[in-house]
Amino acid sequence: MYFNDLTMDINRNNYETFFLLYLDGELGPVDKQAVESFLSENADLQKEFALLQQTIFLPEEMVYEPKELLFRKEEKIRIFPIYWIRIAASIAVLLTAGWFIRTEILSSHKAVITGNTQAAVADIPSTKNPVNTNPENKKQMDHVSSKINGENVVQSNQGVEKKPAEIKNAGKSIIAYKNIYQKGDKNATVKSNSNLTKDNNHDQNPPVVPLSDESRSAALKSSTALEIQPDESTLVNDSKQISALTKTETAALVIVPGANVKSKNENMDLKETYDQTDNAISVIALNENNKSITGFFKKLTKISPDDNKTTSTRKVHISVFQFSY
Amino acid sequence: MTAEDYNDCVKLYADGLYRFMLKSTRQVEDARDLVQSSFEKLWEHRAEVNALKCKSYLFTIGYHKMIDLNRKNSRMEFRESLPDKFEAAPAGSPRLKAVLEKALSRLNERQRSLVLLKDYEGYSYEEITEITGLNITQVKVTLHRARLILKEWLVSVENVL
Repeated sequence: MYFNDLTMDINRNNYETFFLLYLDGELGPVDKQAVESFLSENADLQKEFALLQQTIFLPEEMVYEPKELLFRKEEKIRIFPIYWIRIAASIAVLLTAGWFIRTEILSSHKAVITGNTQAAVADIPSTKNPVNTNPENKKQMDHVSSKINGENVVQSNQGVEKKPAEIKNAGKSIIAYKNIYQKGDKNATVKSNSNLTKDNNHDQNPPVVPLSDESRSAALKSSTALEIQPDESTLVNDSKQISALTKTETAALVIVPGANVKSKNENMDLKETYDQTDNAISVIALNENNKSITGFFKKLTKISPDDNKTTSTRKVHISVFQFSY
Repeated sequence: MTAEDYNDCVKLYADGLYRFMLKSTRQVEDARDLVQSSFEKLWEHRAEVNALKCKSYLFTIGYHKMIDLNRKNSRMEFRESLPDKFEAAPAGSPRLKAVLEKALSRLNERQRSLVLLKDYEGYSYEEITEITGLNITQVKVTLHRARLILKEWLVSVENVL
């Protein structure tokens, strides 16, 4: 398509426009021929034509590199079946939950186990009846005997009758024993005798110990000797106190009855509740030095007596655990 | 246009668009950015662009981007400093080429762009109207004024020399 805005013929007054249109290639064959004829007839204007011709830029070669920056590929849209989305969502939820639980465990420098309904407090017996004395360490060591729901737990292998622990209906209170290890023995928080597992393997079966009904106490052959200084025990009634306590102390022992513990106030009669079981007592000890948590769970199980028997039997289940954080 | 058409467009016209941008802006980085953003827009609108008109589409985008960039930077005066690489690629008479490069700086932004589109890319007046959005009379008048400025510059340089 040529520039067709020319309504006149080329002459000495308008030749410049014709020259420029000619050089820009915007003239048709007829007008081009007219310009060439005009130039041959007007030799004095050929220099001006040549000057205008020199104003035309000749193309230069320039290269844009790298062109790979500009190349593109179609992105294929991948359609995932719905069940894959479900599986992926499930995995994501599980991973999130696992991460959350792990974070919670690692971040809790002070472990506190609390009962969820009612909590009774087990007293620590007096220190005049040591259960397990370390020959290398002549400091007096205490043991834990607790009585919950009217039952005693006695270190039978020592043959020492323990002072029955009283049940305190402390509501949701818990008792925390501080400095459960002796000074200088920073690695030990809870010491157990040979009958209890000493390693960190939780998979070992807990010992089962028959209990005497007459003494109404559980003979705890696989007893656990704890280095507890009762005089340093502190009764704590709320979590804030526990938190303050555990922040200041190197280690803390928390003895917490498990759920569904019935108190004296509820007139728990053991004889009438043979089919019931005692609830677990959780003992947990924290050690800030080696960042470990050690504890055990005890559970008394009463076996209903036969009709011909007058006594009932009980079993104590003990599980020991230890983990580091 | 397909991705293949687009990549063909890159192969065919990236150099020309870069030359137009570099001659117009005389800034290598600006020119490269303009080329890249022009092709990016072409890719985004590839579904609406006819493969046969991708060059015109590219130069239209590039031209307007260059105008926007110049306005944004208030770079209405044309810088005369040329990169060494740019100066080292003369075509035809080296002396005339150098003089014309100087003369190009005498043109305003629109005149320069139209001369480059006309001479380097060979666009007709009609095509230039599509790219620039000017009407055909504006294109003709602008180009003719630019040629006369260049001619006057050549004459003055010849007189000096």
